[in-house]
Amino acid sequence: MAIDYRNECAVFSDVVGVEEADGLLEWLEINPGKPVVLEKCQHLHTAILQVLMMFKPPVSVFPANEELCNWLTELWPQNPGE
Amino acid sequence: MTPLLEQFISESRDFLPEINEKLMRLETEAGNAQVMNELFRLVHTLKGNSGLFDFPEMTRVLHACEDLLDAVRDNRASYSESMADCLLEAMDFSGMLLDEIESSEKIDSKHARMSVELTASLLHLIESKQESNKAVGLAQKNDRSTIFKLPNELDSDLRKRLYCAIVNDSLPVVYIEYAPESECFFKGEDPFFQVRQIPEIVWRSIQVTSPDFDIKHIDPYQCGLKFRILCRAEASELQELFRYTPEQVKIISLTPEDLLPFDRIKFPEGIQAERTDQTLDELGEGEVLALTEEQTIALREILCAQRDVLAQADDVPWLKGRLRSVAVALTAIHRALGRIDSIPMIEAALNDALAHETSAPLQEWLEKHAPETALISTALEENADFEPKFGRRAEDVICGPKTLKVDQEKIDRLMALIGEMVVAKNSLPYLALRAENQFGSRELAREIKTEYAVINRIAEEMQDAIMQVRMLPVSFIFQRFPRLVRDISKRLGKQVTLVMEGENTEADKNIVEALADPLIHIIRNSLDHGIEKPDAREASGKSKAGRLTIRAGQESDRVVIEITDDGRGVDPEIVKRKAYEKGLIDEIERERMSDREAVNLVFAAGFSTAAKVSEISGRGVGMDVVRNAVEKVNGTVVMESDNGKGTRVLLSLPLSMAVTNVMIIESNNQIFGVPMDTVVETVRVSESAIRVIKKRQAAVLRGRIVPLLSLNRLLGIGTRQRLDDDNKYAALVVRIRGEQVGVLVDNFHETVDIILKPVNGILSGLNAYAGSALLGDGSVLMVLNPKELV
Repeated sequence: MAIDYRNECAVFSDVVGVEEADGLLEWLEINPGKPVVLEKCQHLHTAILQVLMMFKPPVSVFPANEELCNWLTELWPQNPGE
Repeated sequence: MTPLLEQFISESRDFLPEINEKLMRLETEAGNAQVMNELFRLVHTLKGNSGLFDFPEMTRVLHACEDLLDAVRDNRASYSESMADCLLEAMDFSGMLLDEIESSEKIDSKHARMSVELTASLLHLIESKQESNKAVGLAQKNDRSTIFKLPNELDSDLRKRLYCAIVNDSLPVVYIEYAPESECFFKGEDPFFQVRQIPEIVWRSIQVTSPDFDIKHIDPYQCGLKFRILCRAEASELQELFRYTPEQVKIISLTPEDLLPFDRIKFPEGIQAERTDQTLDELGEGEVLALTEEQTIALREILCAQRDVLAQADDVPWLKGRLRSVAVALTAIHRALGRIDSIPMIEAALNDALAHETSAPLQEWLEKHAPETALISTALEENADFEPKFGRRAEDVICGPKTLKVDQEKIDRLMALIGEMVVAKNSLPYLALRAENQFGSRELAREIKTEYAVINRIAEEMQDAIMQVRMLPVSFIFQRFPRLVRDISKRLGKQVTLVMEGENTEADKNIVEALADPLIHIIRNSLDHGIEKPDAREASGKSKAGRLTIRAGQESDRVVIEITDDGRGVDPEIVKRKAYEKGLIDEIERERMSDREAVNLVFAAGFSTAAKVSEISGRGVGMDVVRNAVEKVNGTVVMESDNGKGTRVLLSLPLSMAVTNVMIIESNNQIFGVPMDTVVETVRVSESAIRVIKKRQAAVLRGRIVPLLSLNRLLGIGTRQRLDDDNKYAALVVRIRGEQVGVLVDNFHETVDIILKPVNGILSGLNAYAGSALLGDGSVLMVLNPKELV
């Protein structure tokens, strides 16, 4: 699983594929406002990105991958992470 | 280049002229449904073929052509000359891509844009029936003719930085707008991954575009995002990146002017002062501007569009709205140009037009007062010259295809000619002989022989080359067998696995064609009589599904085809009994006959073992037809059977049949020919080595007992065979139906190539002769047919 759903957050790792979109959507609906941890994420499928953009959950850690981080900080400007 | 790609190119080259021809034919006979269907089929096939390879540019255009033709077929669009132009253009484009594929095996991504434009103009024709080709012309034009308006969110610092980058360092700055289609996830696309590949991004934005995109009804599998990016990469690099989805991407190389915001930012002093000032001045208001070239083009286009709008028919209910919008556009232009005094005139013309419900007053005004329109026609014409023509118009050099389609008759004629030449060259050795014996000139004789050797070599090569032209792989007939086996086995309720091997084996066209019928007979027989029903097979401990193997291969100068099945085989006892009942053999033969011989009785005329006549086989005409057909092309057929385990039918055919190589033998002072393909060897047998077994002569050759027959006796000549000086007989060992027989003759001579002419007329009943041929010295050579003789 590229997304580990924990009690207080969802932890993304490696490449998160399109098949995770449903699960993520469900989790975000049930857990509004809980943060996502993107530190170890290398890539998000567009579908995942889209879901994240809709719900705008707080990002507690931005990706270590600098290039991906650039993209996401653009979308979460008000949330500078840690 | 792979064979598949080669075939694609050669096929497409055949298709394109045909498509062009049909397109032009439709211009004169627009309603011809048959031509239309053929055209559609051709384009459809071509598109399908191109889809096998990585040529999205080509497939896209052809797909649009197909859609357009489909629309015409369904009367959703009407075929017109302009449509034909557009389609021809698309075909020219495909032709150009083919050239490129042929030379480099790929298509440069620079064509992607052209491909999209062509596609757009083709699809545009479907949407608007009456739209003239001018619209197409506009659609095709460069979308960079106006100043491009960048997103407002761009902050001025970035604008300034990029402006300087372009002006001072002439670095490219490219704007990309990528709106993936909503179904793109289902095509395995990941737009975000795609945009992450863009190098040197300086500005980026991801927007949600879809209007019904809210948290309650979100469908995560519908893409509703739009990406906008500014980067410092070359446009060509980006076109390559987006080559599969060019219709969803806008890639625009920015000019410095593009970066100037409309609310005119103040540039810090010292940055390209003159240029900036000049640019800013140009955008000033209230005076007649000196327009840049691009602005002029844009202005012309706007005016041209207005003129086109006005030129449309007046009898529509929305005429007034149309007139007002034109007037608004004209007013805005003139205000922007600083020609404020023209505005009341436009209003007057509009009122006039509205009162009379005609566009004429506005049209007149436009002609008179907007001098730019005068330029429009010339500008359009100039532009027309810039439209790519792909260098494939009728007057251009034709790049011929590499394969030729030649009428078979022409090849046959070549074959006949080379055959005659082979015979004619055979006269040279006789000439040499005469030069020596009759005129006593040894030297001349030797020279003639040398020349003969040269001509002989060339003739042989030539014959070989022509032969190659006629060669056809046996897959030509094999390809229909899977279907045949499937259909028949289904009808018979049997399970059969068909295995085919050596489909690439080549043989002369005539031979391959002659094989078709016999093979079908044999396969039918195997399926009907050979392979048992599944339960019967299981009962005898075999797998449920029978196995039918067709194997082709080349053995020296013959094609050998082997058809094997693992069915019940042929019972020699039943065959013997049947043959006896039908009077094909007598009692003595029945007793004496080996199982092997018995099995081959099925090839006798009028023989059938099947208890009842089925619709597939069993009329007793099958197998003797097979033998006749095969023997007609100098082939042989042998059946081997292992009762209960299966049957094997072996067909052996010559590779070609035009020229026959024969050995000349002498008997009773006459010469005869014997086809070389039956000759195994020539040996000298001493009289003492011949044993008599049951009144028949035989000798041991290479450890085998070979029966010996005297040719004189076979031909009914009363004299004994002559012995040579060492008291030895000349024995010609020939292979007849797989068995070796020695034929005693008087002497051996050389081998010659001849064209065998079948004996006809009164002599046609003489089966002992396969035919006759002319020799180089003009004499006639009778060629024996050992099979019938022995």
